[in-house]
Amino acid sequence: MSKFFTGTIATLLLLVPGIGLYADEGQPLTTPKLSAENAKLCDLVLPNPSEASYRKIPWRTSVMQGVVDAQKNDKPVMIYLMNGHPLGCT
Amino acid sequence: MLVPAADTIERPGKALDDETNTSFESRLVRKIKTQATGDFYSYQGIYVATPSGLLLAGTHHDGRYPRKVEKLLREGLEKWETISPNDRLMTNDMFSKAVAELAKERARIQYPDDGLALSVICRDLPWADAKNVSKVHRKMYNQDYAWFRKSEARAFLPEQLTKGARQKVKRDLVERLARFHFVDLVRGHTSSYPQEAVEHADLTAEVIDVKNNLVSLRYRGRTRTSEVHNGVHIEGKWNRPGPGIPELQKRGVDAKLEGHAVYDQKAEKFVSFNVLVVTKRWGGNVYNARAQFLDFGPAPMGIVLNLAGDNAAEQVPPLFFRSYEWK
Repeated sequence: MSKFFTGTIATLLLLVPGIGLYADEGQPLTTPKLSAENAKLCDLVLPNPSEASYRKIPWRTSVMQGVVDAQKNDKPVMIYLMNGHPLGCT
Repeated sequence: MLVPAADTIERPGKALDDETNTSFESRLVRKIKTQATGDFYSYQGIYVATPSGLLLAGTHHDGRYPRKVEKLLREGLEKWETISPNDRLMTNDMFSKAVAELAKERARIQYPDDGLALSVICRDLPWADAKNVSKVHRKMYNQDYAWFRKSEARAFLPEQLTKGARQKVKRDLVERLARFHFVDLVRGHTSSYPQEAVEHADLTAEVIDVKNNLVSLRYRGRTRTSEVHNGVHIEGKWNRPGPGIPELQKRGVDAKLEGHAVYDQKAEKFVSFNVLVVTKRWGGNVYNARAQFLDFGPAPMGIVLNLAGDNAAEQVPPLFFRSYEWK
C-alpha cells in the first residue's frame, strides 16, 4: 500500500506542469507536460523498493577490490560472479 | 562479517575463466573455482573465499534463493574461524601484486565523471500473450548503464539555451542508445545492433524554461532497429532452429521516447533526467529467454532512462561498452 502511495505522489509531481523541482526566488522551473501514460508506465518499469534492495549492500564492484578490502580487514570475501556484471546487465 | 564483491567474468582482453589469462585476479578466481564441487558447471555463481584463495562455500544454482544463500554465507563464516590467519590471508608479496593490479584496473575505467551516466532499466509491459510466460519471467527486469562524455552530454541540449529553442540530438548519440541500449535485455543477454540495422534515430531537445543556471528540457523522439537472419547461425545471437522457432528469424525494436531533464549551466551537468521509452520488440535468442516460451512478439517493452547514482555500484560499465570504441 505504501509503495502505491509513494509512486502515486511521484507520478503527480512529474505530471503536473508548473510544479518544478527547482525553485528560483519563488518561481518554480517549468517542466513539460508529458503524455498521461508516461508516469504510469515509468512506475511499471522501474524496480520497486524490494527489487532494488540489493543496492543497499556495500558492494565492491570487482574481484580485486573485494579481495584487497577483505585482506585489509581480515575478513572473508563473497564473490558474486556472472556473465555480465551482476550490478549492471547480467 | 564479510566483504561483498560482484564482478563479471568477461574482460576487455582475456576472460577471468580463460586458462591462458595470467593476471593475478584470473589465477585467484581459477584457484577458487577449482575447489568448487557440486552444482558448478561454469564460473557463474556465488563464492565465499579467503583472500588467499581458499574456498569456504559456494553455489551456482542456489544464488536465486535468499535463504540458501544465507545458509551458504553462514557456512563460509564458520569455516573462516577455523583457518589460521597465515593460511587465510595473502602473503605480503601477493598483497602487493593485488594492490598493483587493482590500481591498473582503476586506471582503465573510463567512467564519465563530468559527463552523463544514465541508468537504463527495461521490463516487459503488459501484453496479450503474457499468459504463455511463467509468472517469474513475466516480472523480470534488467539494468544497464549508458555513458556519455562531457562534450557528448552537452550535445543533448540545443546550442542556444533560450526558451523555445529546439534542436536534434546528434545522430551518433541517438544511434548509441538504439544500438546498445534499446535492446531486449529484459530476461538476459542479447546482441547489440550493427549500425546498418538502425532505420530511424531521431531525438529532439526543446528548452521549456530557463531560470538562472537551470534549463528545463523536453525530449521527444523515435528510433527503430531491424535485422533479418542472414542464414548463418551465430551463437547467442539467433535462435537455434527447432520446433516453434520461426524459419525466417528476425528481430528489432521500434522505440518512442518522451521525457524531460534539467541541466545546470553553472555545474555543466544534468541534475535530472527522466525519459520513458515505449517500444515494440520482436525476435529473440537462446540467452534472453524468449525462445523458451516462443515469446517472439511483437510485444511492448518499456525502458526508463534516469540519472545513475554516484555510488560505486552504479558506476559499472555499460554491457556493450567496448562497442563505444572510446579511445
